[in-house]
Amino acid sequence: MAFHGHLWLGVLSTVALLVIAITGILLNHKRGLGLMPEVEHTPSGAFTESVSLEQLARAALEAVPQAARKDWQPGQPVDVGLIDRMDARPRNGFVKVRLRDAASTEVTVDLHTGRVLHVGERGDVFFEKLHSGEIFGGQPYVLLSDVAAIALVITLITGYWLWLAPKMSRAPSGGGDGA
Amino acid sequence: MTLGAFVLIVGVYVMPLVLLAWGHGLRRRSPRLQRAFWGAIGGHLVAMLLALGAALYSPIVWTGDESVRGFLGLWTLLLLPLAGAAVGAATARRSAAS
Repeated sequence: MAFHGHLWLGVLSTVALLVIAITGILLNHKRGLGLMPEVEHTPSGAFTESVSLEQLARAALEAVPQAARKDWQPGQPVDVGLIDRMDARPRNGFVKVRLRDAASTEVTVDLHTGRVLHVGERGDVFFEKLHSGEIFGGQPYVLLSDVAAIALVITLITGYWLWLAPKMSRAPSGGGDGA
Repeated sequence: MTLGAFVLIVGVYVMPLVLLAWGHGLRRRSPRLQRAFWGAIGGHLVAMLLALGAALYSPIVWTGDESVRGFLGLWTLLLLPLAGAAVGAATARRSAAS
């Protein structure tokens, strides 16, 4: 029973665990691998003098390639549907505007001047979704990752059992060696 | 669920199940079936590498028009074991005939 459970679960979860393990390693080293843009910047003004969110979003949308902003054109009202999130970093004096395109394009914009500091792709967002299983269609697919993780735990336990059980059965049962 | 996602799940979970079931009592099976089994295993291993490569490179969500990446990432885990089994069976027939 333990052997077959170990074998079948191990083989069944191989592909999923390989993906989870490799993406996990890549995510651990996302900065070193250049998967997320790193921008060095010091604030160019006081936080109270920051430009509005709408202006920051507009500057970001104007800076990205047409493929990332779809049908939106400069001069039109900001389409919030194109924006995934705006991550403000007051200590660094910039805001990271992440778009909802395939490459998760991220634009770093100066909080005080609205000047675009950097445009890049967030590869780690893709790897995070692949790691969790979300990439296949949202939150329900996270269960695929859960199933693989549970299979790994059971495989580890059955592996230990297969190693130790024969030793335990061969071990001497009595404690006394006679007086 | 898209057809591609369905095929991927079949390739990732159903195909290994079929191969595991097939592998039981392999020595009692005919040489042709044994060769087909090893062909399918080889196909699945190659498909695993191709699918992993396609999934990880490049780190961008794939779209419907990326046919090569879609094929490598979604379809190979189902199709390559089948192709490997066919090649294995055909090779066995040829080696038995000679």
